[in-house]
Amino acid sequence: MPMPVKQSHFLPRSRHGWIAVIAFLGLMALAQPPIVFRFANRVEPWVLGVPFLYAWLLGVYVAMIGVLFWAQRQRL
Amino acid sequence: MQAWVVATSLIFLYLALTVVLGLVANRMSSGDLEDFLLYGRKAGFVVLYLTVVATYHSSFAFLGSGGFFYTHGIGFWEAGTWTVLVGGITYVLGSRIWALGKAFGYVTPADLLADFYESEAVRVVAAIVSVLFTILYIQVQAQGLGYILSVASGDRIPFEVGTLILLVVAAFYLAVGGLRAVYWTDVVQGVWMYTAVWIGALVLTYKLFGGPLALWRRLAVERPDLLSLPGPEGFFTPGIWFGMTISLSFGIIIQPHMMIRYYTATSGTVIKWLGATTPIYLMTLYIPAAMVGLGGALAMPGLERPDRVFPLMLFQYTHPVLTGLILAGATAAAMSTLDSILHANMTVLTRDVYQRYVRPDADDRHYVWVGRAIIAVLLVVAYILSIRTHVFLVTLVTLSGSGALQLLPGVLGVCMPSPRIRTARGILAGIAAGLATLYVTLFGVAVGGLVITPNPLGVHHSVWALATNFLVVLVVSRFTAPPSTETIERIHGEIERFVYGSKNDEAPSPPNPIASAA
Repeated sequence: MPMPVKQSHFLPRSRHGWIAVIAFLGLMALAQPPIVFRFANRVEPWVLGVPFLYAWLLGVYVAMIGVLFWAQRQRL
Repeated sequence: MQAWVVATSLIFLYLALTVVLGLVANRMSSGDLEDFLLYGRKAGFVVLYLTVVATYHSSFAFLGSGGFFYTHGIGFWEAGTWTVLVGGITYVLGSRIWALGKAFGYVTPADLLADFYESEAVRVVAAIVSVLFTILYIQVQAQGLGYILSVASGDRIPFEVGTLILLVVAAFYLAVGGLRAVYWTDVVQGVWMYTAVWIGALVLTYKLFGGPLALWRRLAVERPDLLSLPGPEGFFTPGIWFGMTISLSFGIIIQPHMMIRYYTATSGTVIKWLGATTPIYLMTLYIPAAMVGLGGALAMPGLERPDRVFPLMLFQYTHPVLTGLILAGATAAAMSTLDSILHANMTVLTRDVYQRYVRPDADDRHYVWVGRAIIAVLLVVAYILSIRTHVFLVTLVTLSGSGALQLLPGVLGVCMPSPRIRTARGILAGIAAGLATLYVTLFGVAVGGLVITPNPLGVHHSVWALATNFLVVLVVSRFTAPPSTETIERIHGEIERFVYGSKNDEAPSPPNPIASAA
C-alpha cells in the first residue's frame, strides 16, 4: 500500500544521513568561491611536487568520493 | 608504413569492432520494445558503469578539455567538482528515478513528469525540451568525428565523408542492436578512451618534459599565469565557476540519454554504487587532459585552434601506432555520446510521440521498426546539421548545455517529496520563464534604456535561468491546482517506500498504470 508522505525528503531523517549531507556539501564548499578563489588560489606551498591549488582540489574531490562510499556502506 | 595509414587503419579496425558488436547484440535481442529501448532493464554494474562514463564524457572531454587547459590554465581542473557532484546526484536522484521507472514502467523522462503532474502538456513540453536541447549535441559529436578522421588521414578523407562514415556506423549498430548494442560498444569505448588519453598524455609528458612533476615546475617558471585563477584571459570568475558546476552536473544528468540509463539498471543498489564510483573515472580523466593542455601551452604555443593540441602533439612527437590507437580512443569518446543521444531521441520520439499520439495499440515489433525508421531520419538530420553550420544552430548549441536543466524543478518535484507540491502549470510556467531568462542572460539584450549584459553581475547564465525557473514554479504552484491526492500518494509513496521503507529492491510495487494503459 502506498504511504502518504508527510516529511520532506530534502532533510535527512537519521544521524548518518545528516553526517553524509553536511560532509558532502561542506567539502563542496571548499571547492567553490570564495574559498577556492582566496585561500586555495596559490602555487605555493607545493604539495608532493604539484601546485597547491591543484593538490587542494584533488584532495577535496577524493574526500567527496569518500563520503559517497561511506554513504553507500551505511546503506543511506 | 606512413603514419596516416596506420592511424586511419586503426580507426577503421575499431569501427569494424563496433559493427560486429551491434550484430551480436541483434542476435541476443528478444525483439520486444523494452529490450530494444531499455536493454530489458537488466543492466548490471559493470556495463552500466562504462556506458554512463563513456556517455558523459564526449569528444569535448578528449579534445576540448585539453584546449581549455591550454587557453585558461589550471582553472579547468574545476571539472572535478562537477564530475563528483554528478556522483552525488546519481546517488540521490538517480536511484529514485530508477525506483519510479521500475514501479510504473517509465521509459522516458516525459513519462515520469506527465504521470505525476497528470498533464499531457507537460509530456509534450518535456519531450520537446529533451529532443531539442540534445539533438544539437549530435551535430557537435558528428563534427568531432569527421574532424578526427580527417586529421588521422592527413586530410585524405574529407571532413564531410568522415562524418558520414562514422554517423552511418553508429546508426547501424544502434538500429540493429538497440540499447544493448549501444551499451556493449560503450563498454569498449569507455575502456579504450580512458586508456588512450592516459597513455597519450604520459608518453607526451615524459618525452617532452621528463614527467608530470617536471612539467609543473616548468609551468611555474615559464607560464605562471596558467597556474592561478582566473587564468590568463580572466575566464574563471567566481560566478562562472559556480555556474559551470551547476550546469555541467545537474544539466547533464537531467538530459534524456542519462536519465534513461537510470531506468535500465537491475537494482537501485547498482545506481547507488554508480553514484559512489563513477566520479573516480569522470574526474581522473581530466588529470591527463591537464597534462596535455598545459604541456601543449609550453610545447606548441600560439595554436589558432587550441582544441587540436592533443592530435597535433601526437602526430609530431609519438609513434604512428600509438597515435592511431589514441585517435581511435577519441573516436570512441565521440561515438559513445553520439549513439546514446541518437538512442535517447529515438526513444523519446517513438514512445512520447508515435506510441502516444499516432498509433497507441500496435505490437512491440511495430514500434521497434518505427524506432529504426526514426534512427534513419535522425541520421539524415544529424548529417545535414554537421556539414552546414548556421549561426542560428550555433546559438542553439550554446544554449543546449543549460536548456535541459530547465526540467530540474519538475524532476525534483516528482523525486523529492515535500509538503509543498508543485503543479503542472507551475512546471510549464517555470520552463518558459527559465528558457527566456537563459536566452537573455546568455546573449544579453538592450531594450530601450535597459541593457542586460551576458552573464549579468558575473554570474553564469544557467544560474539565472534556473533561479528564475524555481521562483516561477514556486509562485505559480501556490495558486494552481496540484495533481490528485491519489497520484501524489501513489508516486511519493513509492519513493517513501524505496528510500525509507524496505531496503529490498525487489519488494512488490503498486500496479503499473502506464504499462497497462499501453
